Amino acid sequence: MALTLDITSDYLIFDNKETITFQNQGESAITIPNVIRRPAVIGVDGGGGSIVYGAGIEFLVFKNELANAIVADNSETLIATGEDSDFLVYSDSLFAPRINARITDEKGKHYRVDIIDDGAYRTRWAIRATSEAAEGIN
Amino acid sequence: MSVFYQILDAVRDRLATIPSVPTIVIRKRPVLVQEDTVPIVIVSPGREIIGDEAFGNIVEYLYSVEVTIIQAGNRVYEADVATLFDLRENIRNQLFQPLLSGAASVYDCQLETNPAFEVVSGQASNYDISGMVITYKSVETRIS
Repeated sequence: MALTLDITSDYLIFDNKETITFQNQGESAITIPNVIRRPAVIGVDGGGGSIVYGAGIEFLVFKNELANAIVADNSETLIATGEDSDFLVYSDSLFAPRINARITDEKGKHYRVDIIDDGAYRTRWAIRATSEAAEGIN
Repeated sequence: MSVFYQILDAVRDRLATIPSVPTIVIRKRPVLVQEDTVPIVIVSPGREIIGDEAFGNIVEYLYSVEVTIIQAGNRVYEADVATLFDLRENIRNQLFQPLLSGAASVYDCQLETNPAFEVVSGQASNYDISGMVITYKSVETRIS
């Protein structure tokens, strides 16, 4: 068997990958596999004259994996097989993460998107998010 | 028991009479801890200043009490607006009364509300935080 090096999939060698659910506001949720999770940091912050807590986290979502993404409410793939330009649920527009979208991790923790970094080569999104109210980390 | 704590205790008792009110706690400061569930109402002390004075060692103290509602917002900006206003109005109406059962020296109060949905950022950005300050006027006696 010939071995080939495909650097567009080098993220697959990491062992802290997980499947997340990603839902832009007003759109269907999709599950995206092989997302790399960076460490979550919990801390306190002031707001409205009070002190509350929350966790900051970053997920690396690789655009290659959108071909394997599943639309949660109808179990269809985001991209129809053999029709790689046909996005089933987004009216033929490309999927893109948006600010304030909801992320659910494998342990059921929920986060809201703060910042999206598209990366120099546009192969992945680095998505920074904050845990939903009264949810810490586990 | 100090007059200030009598007031805090009385405020908590009065809030507890509101139907469907969330958990109410008295804290040193309006701090949400990880053991809490939201929504929650935190009653905490503010400033204590001297108001008017009169002959006969009479003095008026002004005690400020902060009432802070903390609930989940989670970046959903069009839901739960009416619900929070209902709760705030109920709290306001319960507290803005001249007398305060449990704190006999109180004879009047003033109430100031903060914005209903405070602008928050960072780790606080998924919370809806809404506060008000009630200043109770208490007539007491100076030692000399």
